[in-house]
Amino acid sequence: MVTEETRMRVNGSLLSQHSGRPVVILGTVQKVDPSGMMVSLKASDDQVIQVKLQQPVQENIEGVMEVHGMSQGRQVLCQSYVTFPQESYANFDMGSYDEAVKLIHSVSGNPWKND
Amino acid sequence: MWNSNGDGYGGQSEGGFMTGDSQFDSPASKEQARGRKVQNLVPMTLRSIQECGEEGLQVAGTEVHMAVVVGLIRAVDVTSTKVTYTLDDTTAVMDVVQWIESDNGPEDGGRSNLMEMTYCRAAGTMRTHQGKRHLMAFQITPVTDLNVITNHVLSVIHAGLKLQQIQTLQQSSGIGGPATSSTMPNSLVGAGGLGGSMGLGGGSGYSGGGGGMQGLSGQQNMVYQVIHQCPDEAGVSRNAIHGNLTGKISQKQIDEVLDFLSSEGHIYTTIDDDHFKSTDG
Repeated sequence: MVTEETRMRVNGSLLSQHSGRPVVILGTVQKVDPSGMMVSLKASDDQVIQVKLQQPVQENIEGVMEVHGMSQGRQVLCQSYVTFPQESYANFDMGSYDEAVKLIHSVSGNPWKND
Repeated sequence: MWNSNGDGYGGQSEGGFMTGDSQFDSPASKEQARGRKVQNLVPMTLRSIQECGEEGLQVAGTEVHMAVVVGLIRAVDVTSTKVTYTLDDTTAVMDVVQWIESDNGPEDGGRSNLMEMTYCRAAGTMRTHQGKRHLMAFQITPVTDLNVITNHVLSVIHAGLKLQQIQTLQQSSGIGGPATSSTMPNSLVGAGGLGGSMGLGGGSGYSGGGGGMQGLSGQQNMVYQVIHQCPDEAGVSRNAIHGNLTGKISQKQIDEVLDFLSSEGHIYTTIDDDHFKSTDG
């Protein structure tokens, strides 16, 4: 489950630029497919992406979710995910998070960058 | 202390400043003093920690005493003496070890909140055991606010850039001076020095022209300078000092400073209790 490889934090538009590479994407759960194998996630830049799960979810997923997986363009193949208790994201500033994600990609040589 | 990286930097500057002082006292012990005196707390990624050499943690050429990391707990292993958290911060996976203090009794010190697949924030020093690197944690706390993750992402980027800037400034100011490579690794001295002199800017700038008194605070120096610069034999009156420093220091504070300067012997009263002259000229 745990990849030793560095994953880059991405938002919706950066996800497709990282196709085939390991990523972390955080967003708000829009809806869970009845099959339990697919989740629509509104990423930090408000783009809606699809999360493909490898096993059907057993629990009720809602609120903010962070997905660790492989980018497949507009989709991400989930290797693991984290959900958070409501009180931990009640004051979460999604806009600031998105700016931070963009800085990871724009500031050259920063420690989060995978190169 | 942990909730603000600004504080971390403040501590770092002070620590560096003190290191500088002690080195000034005994330049011969410079080499031995190196490293152990650094007391700073720098946000880092786990990969940066793994990529550091065996000599210790470094960010942009600056020695780091303690690293702050934020990551996802992938596994928890509890033994009777220690708890090992396998932390994943997206750049790498590393064990963070917390030793259990026996005097804590049956309490788990909030450990029950540090579960698998939850985020935590840890501060600790780097250790290598049997060829495997880990972080020895002095504090691990659960992340109960997602903004902590954003904050950590930004703090790591900022710390790298800031320390790089300090390094660059130090190198450019060292040109032509006696600065050798042996002073470079101890760059926190420089960092502290820079921070310190910037912080003092207000006070020392004011006193720069007239030869400020050592050991006086900014306000005390300002009042002292007003008195020192007065050529009048009778000294300068309390009202004139108030007027001179209007908007800079409140009258009440000026009166307190005057009492202090009198009792310390820097100034004395002349024709009455409300006229002052400085003792050295």
